[in-house]
Amino acid sequence: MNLPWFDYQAPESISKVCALLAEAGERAAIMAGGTDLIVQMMQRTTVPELVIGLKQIPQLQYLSYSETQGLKIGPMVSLQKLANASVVKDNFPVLAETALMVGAVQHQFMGTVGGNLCLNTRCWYYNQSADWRRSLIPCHKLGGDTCHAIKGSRSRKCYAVYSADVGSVLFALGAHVVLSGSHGEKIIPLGEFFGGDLIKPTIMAKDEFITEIIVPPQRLSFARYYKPSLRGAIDFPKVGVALVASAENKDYRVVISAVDRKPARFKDLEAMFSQSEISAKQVAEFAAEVTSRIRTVANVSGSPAYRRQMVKILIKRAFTEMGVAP
Amino acid sequence: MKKRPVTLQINGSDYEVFVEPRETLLQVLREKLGLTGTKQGCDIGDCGACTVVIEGQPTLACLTLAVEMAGKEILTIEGLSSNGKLNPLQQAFMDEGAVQCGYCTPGMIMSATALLNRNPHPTEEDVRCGLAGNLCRCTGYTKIINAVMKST
Repeated sequence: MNLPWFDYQAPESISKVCALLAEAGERAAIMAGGTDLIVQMMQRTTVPELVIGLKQIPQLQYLSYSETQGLKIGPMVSLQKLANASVVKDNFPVLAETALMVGAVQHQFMGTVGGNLCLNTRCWYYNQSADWRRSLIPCHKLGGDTCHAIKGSRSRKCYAVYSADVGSVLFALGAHVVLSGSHGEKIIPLGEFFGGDLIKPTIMAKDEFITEIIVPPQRLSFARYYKPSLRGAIDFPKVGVALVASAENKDYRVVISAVDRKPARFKDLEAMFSQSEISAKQVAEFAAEVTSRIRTVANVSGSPAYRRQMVKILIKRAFTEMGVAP
Repeated sequence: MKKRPVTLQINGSDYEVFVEPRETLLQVLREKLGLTGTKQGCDIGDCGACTVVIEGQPTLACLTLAVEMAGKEILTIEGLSSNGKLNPLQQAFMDEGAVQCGYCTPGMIMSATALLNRNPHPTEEDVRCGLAGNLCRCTGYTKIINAVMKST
């Protein structure tokens, strides 16, 4: 199948990308590795008039670490490079492990950290060919006012889910992103970055793009990401659970992916771990409460009941592997 | 959209082609250059049939814009044999009978080529991981993995 018509530009500097974005606005799409955008274009869920490729910009392809500033990641660093870099393996091994859980080897070589962070939300009723979708009225993501994943009534909410593995782990690690645009640069925490509306998971404006990802320095006692998927070798997660812990600070962050339009974190519930030694009973209560707050619907692989159950199981597994006696 | 000239370095030769920005490397290889050894499968990056090796890395040609490939070293299945003689990996696929319908074979061999470039002595687990992005609808994975192991 042919891709839709578009013009292509490969600027060699960040300022030129900003100028192009300022001029083209809504009509442009940024392309990093292409593993998400080209599929969207093939399926006509995204039809940009201008594609701006970032492969010619060396300033976006670096990794550095310092004890004061933490890990700085250029958004065009490939997932394989992230997985194999010693600064990542030494300081944030969970990032290296998670990068190797994304897609298959080809996607890991082609896909980038910035691209993974900006992964669009996914749904069975949206990520289909244009012909397939034509049999249904447009959903929220296509400009309509319904959600096909909720049967029997018109839902005011879009239930497409954010499935980025590395993006969810970066969120759990408290990462920040640098957004560049015609206004200049701004640094925002990922918690704010994922503040988009029903349709768009992030607050990134059309004339902005990510120019750096910063993971602050931190002493972690445990960090791991769990991801069941239909085919372990290639698929998006049915659900994902990240646990990032700093025992000395009694700081336990749990992030759930693929259950909402952004990675889900429940800080008020995490507070139950801040007082005393963690017990299996506390973990079970935490897992039950998290599960009661998420709503899974039939819009990605795995039944809603299975996915909710897996959230509970994976939270318990994470704490058990961290050292909490079951 | 206006076509633009791009010089592609494929299997050691330069090919000057005029491409539209929307043309994928897969389309250019198959339809403009007649290099039909690279197969079109799902066209959305799921099956691995279109895998080629670019700058030593396994790459899905269906998700690669040809216009971005100027100056990159591209290796396709046609570039593996020399003087009519199969390379050891191709020969191992023949010897092991690691081919059923054959449609996934070029992608499998190119993924394996990239794997052996970065890890000349892989374990069976490494081979399974290295080929995980390539689907065989005939499900003949065992002999494919055996063939890659045998070629090392």
